[in-house]
Amino acid sequence: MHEYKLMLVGFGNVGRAFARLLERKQETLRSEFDFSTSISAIATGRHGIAVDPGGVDWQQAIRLVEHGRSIDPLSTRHGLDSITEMIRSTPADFLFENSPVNHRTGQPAINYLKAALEMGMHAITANKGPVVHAYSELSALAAKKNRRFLFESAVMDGAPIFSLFRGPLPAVELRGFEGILNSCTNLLIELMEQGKTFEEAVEYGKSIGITETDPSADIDGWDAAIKVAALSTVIMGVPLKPDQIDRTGIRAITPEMIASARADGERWKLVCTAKRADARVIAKVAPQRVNQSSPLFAINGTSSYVQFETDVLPGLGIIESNPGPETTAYGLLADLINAVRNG
Amino acid sequence: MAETAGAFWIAHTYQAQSAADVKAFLVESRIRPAWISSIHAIGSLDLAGYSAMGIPAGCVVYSWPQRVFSGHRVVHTAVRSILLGETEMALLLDSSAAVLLASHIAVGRHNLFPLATFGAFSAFNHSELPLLEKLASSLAVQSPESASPNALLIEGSSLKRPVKKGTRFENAAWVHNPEPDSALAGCCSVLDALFTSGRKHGLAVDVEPGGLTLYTSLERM
Ligand SMILES: NC(=O)c1ccc[n+]([C@@H]2O[C@H](COP(=O)([O-])OP(=O)(O)OC[C@H]3O[C@@H](n4cnc5c(N)ncnc54)[C@H](OP(=O)(O)O)[C@@H]3O)[C@@H](O)[C@H]2O)c1
Repeated sequence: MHEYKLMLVGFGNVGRAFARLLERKQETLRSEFDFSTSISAIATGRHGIAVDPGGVDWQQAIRLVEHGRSIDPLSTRHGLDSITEMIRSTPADFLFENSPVNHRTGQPAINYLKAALEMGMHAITANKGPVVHAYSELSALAAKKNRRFLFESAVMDGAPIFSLFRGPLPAVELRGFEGILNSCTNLLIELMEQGKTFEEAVEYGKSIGITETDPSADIDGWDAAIKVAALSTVIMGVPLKPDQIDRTGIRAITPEMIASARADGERWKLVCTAKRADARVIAKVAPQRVNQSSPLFAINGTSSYVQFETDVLPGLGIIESNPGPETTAYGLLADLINAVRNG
Repeated sequence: MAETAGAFWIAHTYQAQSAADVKAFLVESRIRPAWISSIHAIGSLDLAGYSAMGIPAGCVVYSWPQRVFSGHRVVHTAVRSILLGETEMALLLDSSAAVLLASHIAVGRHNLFPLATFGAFSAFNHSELPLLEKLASSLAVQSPESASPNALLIEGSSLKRPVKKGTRFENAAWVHNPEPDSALAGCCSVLDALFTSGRKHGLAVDVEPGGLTLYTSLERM
């Protein structure tokens, strides 16, 4: 049985959920897929780096990070200058890159993934930045090195959207899509429907961990825009950057607008759309009123929805209900199994 | 018990008009809603009804348009997704039938008893050759064991029995689909015909208006 060594860059909600999931799934990986895994390195932004080719004590790493402490003491190697140096100098089979998304450049995640592929590792990420800003480059490098660059959980977490168009629906031409891709704003609007002001909704979102300390990426539509860009780039084959998308967030939605929509039997939603127009894709993220006949109307809470228009199917909708870091971790695990099987 | 990787047919019903019907089907099949990792619904979907049933958070729901394409596409998508390891248990629904499919992992974990496995599932455009000829050659490549089915259902084509002598299909019993609008019910009928006759290989074929022919071959276990 082969033991694969994994390197985790980014050990936040997703990285830690993934480590826990791996532990729970070891028996299944052994019995059903004939491999096991160990974690040979963990890197964070402000909580240090731990490298141990014999296997980092990841449970202790979780305890340390969750208590705001550094994981450096768990390392058998010291004096590493950077995460890129760690990737280049630590033997591993996989890099799992789960650092924060950089909407503008995709860095430093792109450099991490590049270094891993150059070292002969498979590169897997839940981060949309590298998908949007370096999809062709990383895919080409992976192909050259006979490795996989996979990112299934970057959009809609565990819903296998990218592989749907690689596998079960190959050769269909995607004409466009429409959906709700940002769960935070969907929840905030719903809280406003329940009588909260915009500010109260944001505060409540923060208190239950749905909204970031700086919620602007969600509220101003950047997170939705980068997801639209990722879908356009990968499955429509038309590279788009978030700033090429006509983007309006939800800041201007008032309780009066919510009430007026409700009086007409409608709801406000932050709607993402993309439409092919010759060789281009016209994409938009903006609040819209939707009525009960729209599939978007019933998408509640932190659920997401996307409906694809293809040449053969006039409307395939995919709904993911209330996902979280755990679901994202499942997407990473599916990529791991996929790479082992087909790598 | 299924031992090798594959996609398995676990149970089906022709009574799937509402979420309550589907709930009763799951209870009867001893399937817990929490085990289901994806739902493929053709036509309208009572999302609230299914959420109330205890389908877990994170379960991916695919909502397919009604009647503009063959339901075999949905079956093929779900089977491929199981074979790729993306889903462990899929519930397929249309306005008539419901079908439960599972991976070998789910079969082992939940101690399930599969009714059938998939010999082949594919599609071709048959405009240049007669349907049966093209079907025979496609099956010969995809799954030689199921190339001479014991039960056959062909929908969407003007082809009527009896099937021409000398073809691989001459010994196949012609199956009737009680719900001609439902490709899922068609597959269920083929499987039921195999159970009634005690034979092994069944084939459900559907020709879309554009000429694309999709087929699903089932092997009774
Ligand atoms: N949360 C979800 O449900 C979800 C769903 C889909 C996709 N994603 C994507 O997954 C990624 C991780 O999300 P998350 O929720 O786990 O974020 P998070 O909780 O903020 O964790 C981010 C991790 O990355 C580390 N980090 C920060 N700057 C870094 C740098 N320059 N280099 C390397 N590591 C760095 C952080 O370390 P410090 O804490 O020490 O700074 C932390 O360990 C993001 O790209 C996100 O968009 C998340």
